[in-house]
Amino acid sequence: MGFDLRSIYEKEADRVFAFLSRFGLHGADLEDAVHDTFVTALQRASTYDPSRPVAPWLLGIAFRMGVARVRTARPTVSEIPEQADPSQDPQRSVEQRQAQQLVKRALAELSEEQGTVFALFDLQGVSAQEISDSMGVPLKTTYSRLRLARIAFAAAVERLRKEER
Amino acid sequence: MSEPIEPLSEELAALLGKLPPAASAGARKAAVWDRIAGTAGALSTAGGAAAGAAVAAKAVAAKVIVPLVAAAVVTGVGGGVVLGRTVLAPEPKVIVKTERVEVPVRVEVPVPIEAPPPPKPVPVAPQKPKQAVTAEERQLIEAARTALIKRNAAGALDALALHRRSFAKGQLAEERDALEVQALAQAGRLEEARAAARRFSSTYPRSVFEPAVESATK
Repeated sequence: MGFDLRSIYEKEADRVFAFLSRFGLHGADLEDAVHDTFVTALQRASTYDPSRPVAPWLLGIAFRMGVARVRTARPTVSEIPEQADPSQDPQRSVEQRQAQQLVKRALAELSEEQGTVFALFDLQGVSAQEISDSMGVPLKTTYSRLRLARIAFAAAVERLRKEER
Repeated sequence: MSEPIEPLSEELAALLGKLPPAASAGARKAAVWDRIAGTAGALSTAGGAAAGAAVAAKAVAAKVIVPLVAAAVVTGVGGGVVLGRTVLAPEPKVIVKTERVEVPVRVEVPVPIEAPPPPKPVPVAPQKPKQAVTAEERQLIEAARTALIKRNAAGALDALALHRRSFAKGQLAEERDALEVQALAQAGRLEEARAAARRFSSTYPRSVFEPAVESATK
């Protein structure tokens, strides 16, 4: 059974970039995380079951990479957006950064399963049907994971906001 | 047929609405692939050494051996191994091929068993392990060392960076830091190599790697 990293990259790279950007990663930090995700996938090729879709397995690795980076983040580097949009009002970009900071910290508190489904559905707008297909689980399962994930996410946001005060 | 999912609570919707758009691979897709292929190439050559080590471990430890898909083979058009970020004009065609090799998984190996060592530019002996080093950690260090031998400094630096992120305080941290000095020097980043060498000497006084570190920065 072949494990063709290149064709997996060709197919999944965009999704992995988008997914990891939800952990507040930009530019070189984002590329490092994508690099590490695919290299780790290669090292763990033996844990991939070729009869199942590759996306959930790969995003599971990406999720752990994202969480590890949130925990060890050096805020000064990764919080600065790649390019500041000059047309954007500064107040809005401050809000955007604060939101991103909060979202990534809350996301890092979810379990891998819940964090992945939440990031795909609510942060990336992937349809529940597509998530079910790529995860190889029934639609009902995706919905119930999503409901639980939202509850956990909302609780994490609330707690983090309280801590900030 | 899709069962409707409730909309997000207003509060969460407001929060998520403030997020910037998600990134996409975009124009960087090929460049990031080159880096991945470089590291994968370094890992595959080290994979051969790991397989050799596995055979030796089997003879000595005779513990549980399970088949593991390993040894990805990365080849470049025009021959040879893809050299990290050295992006040559024809885009490297990468064929990742798997073969089943016997590799011990989480076997407690009493002593680090090295494959018959390839010619080394510098004598680098493994440090005395306090406890067994995980296969993954060793694989990264081997990948870096193999890349250095093949003068693939970029590949070595990628493998070392990945080691630093995954095993910041790993058993092989000292070896990693020594290899980093050599890789920086090989990449022509002499100032950084010297700075790293100074940090190395103060962190690990009287290290067995000191001669290698010192000669790399001369």
